[in-house]
Order: sequence, then C-alpha cells, then structure tokens
Amino acid sequence: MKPILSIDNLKVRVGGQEILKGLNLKIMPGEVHAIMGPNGSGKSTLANALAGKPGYEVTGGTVLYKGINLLDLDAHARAGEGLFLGFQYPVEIPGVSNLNFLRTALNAQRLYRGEEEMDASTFLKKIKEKAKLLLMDFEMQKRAVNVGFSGGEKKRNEMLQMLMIEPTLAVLDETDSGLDIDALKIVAEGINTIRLPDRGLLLITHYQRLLNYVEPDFVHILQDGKIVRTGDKELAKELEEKGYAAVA
Amino acid sequence: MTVLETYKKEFKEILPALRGGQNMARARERGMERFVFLGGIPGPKAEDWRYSDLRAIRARHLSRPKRPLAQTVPRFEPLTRWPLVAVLNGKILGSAPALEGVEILGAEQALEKIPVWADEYFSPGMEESPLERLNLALSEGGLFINIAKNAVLEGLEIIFLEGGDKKNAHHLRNFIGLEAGATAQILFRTISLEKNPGWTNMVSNFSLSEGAHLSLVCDFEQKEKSFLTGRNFVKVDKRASFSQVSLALGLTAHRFETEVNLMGKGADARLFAALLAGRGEAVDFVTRIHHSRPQAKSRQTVRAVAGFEGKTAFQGRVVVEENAQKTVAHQNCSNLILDPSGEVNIKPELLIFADDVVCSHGATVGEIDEVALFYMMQRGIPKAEAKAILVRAFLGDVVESLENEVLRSYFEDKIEAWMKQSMDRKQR
Repeated sequence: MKPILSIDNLKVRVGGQEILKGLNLKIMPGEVHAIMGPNGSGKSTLANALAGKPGYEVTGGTVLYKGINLLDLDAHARAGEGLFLGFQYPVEIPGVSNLNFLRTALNAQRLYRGEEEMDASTFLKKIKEKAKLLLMDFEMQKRAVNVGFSGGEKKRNEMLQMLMIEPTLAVLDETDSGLDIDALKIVAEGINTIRLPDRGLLLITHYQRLLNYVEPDFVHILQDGKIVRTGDKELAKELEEKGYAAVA
Repeated sequence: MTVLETYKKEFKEILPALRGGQNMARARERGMERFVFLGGIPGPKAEDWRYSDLRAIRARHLSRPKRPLAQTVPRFEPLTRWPLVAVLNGKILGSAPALEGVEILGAEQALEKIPVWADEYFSPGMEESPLERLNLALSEGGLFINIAKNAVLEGLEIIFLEGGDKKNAHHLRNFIGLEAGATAQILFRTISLEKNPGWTNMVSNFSLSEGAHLSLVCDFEQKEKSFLTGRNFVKVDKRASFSQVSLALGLTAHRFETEVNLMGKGADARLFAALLAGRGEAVDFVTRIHHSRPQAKSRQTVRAVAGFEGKTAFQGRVVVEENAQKTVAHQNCSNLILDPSGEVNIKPELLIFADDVVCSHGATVGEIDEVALFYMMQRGIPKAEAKAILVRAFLGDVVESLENEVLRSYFEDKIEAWMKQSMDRKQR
C-alpha cells in the first residue's frame, strides 16, 4: 500500500529563518496522526508549507502525496488533489457568501479532477445535512465568509467546508483552539465522519483534549523543526501531565 | 493655425448648416464664445482636468464629420425587455415607442415644437465646462423626453449608437424631464459601432420636479482608440430623488461628469459608480453635488479598480451653500490596485458654507488581500478566478445597488469578462 503522505527531511524557511530543519513523517491510508509541540516549534509552518502558502520556502527534502511531488503543484492544485487545510485563523471574505464560495470551490476541485459539476439542488441538500450534523444554523451560510462569525463559529465553518469537500488528507491546524467543550465534541464527531480507510488525517494541536474524542494512531512531538519523539495516544497523555520539557 | 482658431473658423463655416432655428443658432454662438474664452479643450495643467488625457483630441483636430456618418442600421442587442429607443448618431432609429404619459422626440424636433424647454436644454449646469460649451456649439441630434405629472415609466432602454471615423467628433445633447410626482427607470448605453469612431461628447440635462423619482443606469462602451466624454446635469427639486449607477470599464479615454443640483428641500441624490481600467485604459469620473437648499441628502459610493497599467480617477466635489442647513452628504471611495503599474487618483473636495450639516468623506486604497487569496486557493479555486471573485466582491456595494436582476447579472458578467481580458493582456 502506498502512503498518502511521505515527508522526507523537509526543510522550510520563513522570512529568512529556517523553521523546519529536516522533518520526516509518513501517513498511511486510514491513519490519524497528531502533531504536538510547544509554541514556535514549526507546527503551523508544516501545515502552511504542505498547503503551498506563499512565503514558505522549501529549501530541502521531498514531499510525496499519493506518490506525486506535492511541492510541484500550485495551492489550488494541491486542494484539487484532495489536500485540505483547516486554518488556525479562518479568513474573512467580505462580499462573498459562504454558499457561493463553497460551491465555487467544490466545483473548481471537480473541474480539476475532470468530474462533473455538482448541481445547485444537490449542493444545497448536502450542505444542509452537514450543517445539521455540526449543529450550525444554515442561515449563516448565506452571509459573507466568516464575517461576523465568532471564533468557535469560524472553526465549525472550517469543518463544514471539510465535510463538503471530503478531502483525502485533512491537515487541521489547531482546529480545537477557541472551542468550548460542547463545540469541541461536535467538531470531533464531524472529524470522525471523514475517518475512513482510504483517508488520512493530520491533527495539529497544543492540547490533548481533542485527542480524547478523535483518537490518533500516532502522536508526534515536534520540537525545533524536527520530530523528536513518536508514540501512540498515551504519549499525548504523558505530555499533558509532565509538559514538553520532561517528555521530549 | 492653433486648434482654437481652427475651431472658430470651422464653426463659422458650418454654422449655417447646423440645424435648429434662431434660438439654437444664438445658443451655439454663445457656446463657442465661452468655449474659446475658457481656453478650448483643457490640457493637463488645468486643475479639474489633470487626470483626463485629452491630448489626442487636441492634437488630432477632431471636428465635425466631413462625410456622412454610418447610416446602415447596425446590429445591437437590447439588454432589457423594456421599451427601447435606439439613437444612431443623434437620430432616433425608426419610431420611438408610444408610452402613456411619456413624450419622446428628437431634440431638434422638440426645439421647434416645444420651444419653452430650450433654456433647460441649453443650460450650462452649475459649473461651466469647455467640453459642455463646445457640445452646445456643435451639438447635432439627441433626445428629448418628457414624463408627465405622476406618470410611471417602469423602464426605458436608450442605446446611443455612434459611428463615423477617427476624425469625427460627435456632440450629442439630450434633455429628460420628469414632471411633479413622475417616476422613471432609465438605462443609458453608448455603443461605438466602428473600431475607431473618434470622439463622442454627450451632454444630458435632467430636470426632476417636485416629488419625482428617477433611477438612471449608465453603461458606457467604447472601442479602442476612441474618446468618450460627457456630462449628466441633474436638477432635483423638493422631495424628488435621483439615483445613478454607472459602470465604466474597458474605456480607452473616458471622462464623465455628473453634476447634481439639489435645489429643493428634502431632495435626495445617490450616486454609485464602478470604475475599472486596465492596460491602455483610463477613466476619470467627476462628480459635483451642490446642496443649494436645506435638508437635502446625497450619498456617493465609488469603487475603482486599476489593473496592469490602468489609470482611474475620482474627483468628487460636494458644495453645501450657506442656506443649505441640515444637509446630509456622504462620499465614499475605495480603490483597489491589482498591479504595481496601476494608478488610482482620488480627489475629494468638500466646500461647506453652512454650519449645521452632516458631511463625510472617506477614501481607501489597497491591494488584493493575499491572505484571502490563499484561503480561496487552498479550497481549490485557481488564482485568477479567486482574484476575480475578490474584485467582484469589492465592487459589490455598487453592483448590488442595482435592483433589476437582469442589469445586475449583466454588470457582473461584464466585470468578469474584463478581469479575464485584463489578466490575459498582462501575460502578453
């Protein structure tokens, strides 16, 4: 079986400073990986570099995604190939409604893959269903993307987009931050629905809390641009008790 | 011979041939006199004209056409299902639609038939302009529309088709009057028929009597290397309201003035404009809002986009006269620069002589939000499409002010096509 993601000795610079210093990671189909680490260790840099954000300069290493060189692709093509990034700070887009945005995105991805467009009624039916699952008010989807949304609503909106897009690999950058305990459970349920044998998940988080609801197969500790320790979910618990300094 | 002397000489030669009676001839002479007095076609040193590059008009010595303008009826598509008036080089094509309470005539015919409106037709507006005065001197053709008391005109599409060759200058002059309590919705379009039709200069004077409402939509189209200039002068009486939505896009040289005189208590004017300029394109949008009586309101919303080597300008003047107490006047202009070679100019001017007023103006300039662009691309939308969506969203305040759905989607499509073309041009 081919890995979904295979990162080998990845080095990334941001603003002239080397943040990732030789990172290795392999995600097989059906696996859920969690990356934990202190502030500034490079967690978000990894997520942004994978998604192709401008300003994240790859200076070394390779990233194979489903066997293709991910770093050769534009950001929209990476999305079209099935890579989804759940943003730590979801972006507000005044003047563009959620519905319009998501339908355009969904169909752009389908066009990229040579699939047929999703018609408006199927789209509406599906989004209503997914919004219900996340206990979101569907009416909010008629408003501009993330404008006037609370921190928790923005994160839930990210999850709604993810459930609609159904990515092959979802990288969720601190999706749990800014969520109260009830919202966290709902979001976790949402994440679990895309936990399928042919998919992969990479959770980036500060805390173990989310991992109580979305159980990871592997937990990695990222420190100073490298993965310094890998374990199972027990490692996350150990971290929570003792802190990074003692464990890593 | 200088350009001015040429104009004077040619004017003398052609005056006998220009249509209209004694009144019209006198008005023409007055127009030419003022045009010359004002120094002719303004150069870049004239403060109000510094953003309009009219050199080609001056240098190429555009004058009255020496050969007949295109007479064959061209193909054109109406946009709406409203009654249609097509005007070819100033003359109504076929017969104007018969509408209850609405009189539509050719300007010259109207001058003979109803001479009382001549003063309105000849009016120089609030601030004298050399191009407007030249228009008066040389105008040939145009429309006269009168909407009777309390009549309702649900929609009227007017297409001005301009033909001719590059040496032509065509001056069109219209008058549109709304009697007390009348309501109208009008679409103004200009379409140039030939690739290089020269210069079209269109002046339209509007008069809104007490309690009248006019909603005007202006869509200007122009072929490469041609010039389109014009002015709408709108008088708004007591409790009357005027709204104008205009789209200026893909225009090589365009200057359009909207002058509004809020001359009655409680008069209201709302202007919305979307200006887009890419390579080889320049738009100068000029507004002058005069509050001459108390308790009138005005609001201006302008959105300008400068693409690769494009140039836009907005010069917005609000004058609140001494007795115009309780005036409410707002002006807002946001600008988006898509490429470092693009240029936007913003010149807000507020001249306030009354002391009990609420007036505001705001101007911003920015670039495409890179964070939003990446967000959209991460969701699968290619860069060019994402940019187009952001530009459309930026223009939303103007486009969404259109209540008519057909017009709204037409504007949206036009903006999208412009974005696509503008990006292609950059790549070339």
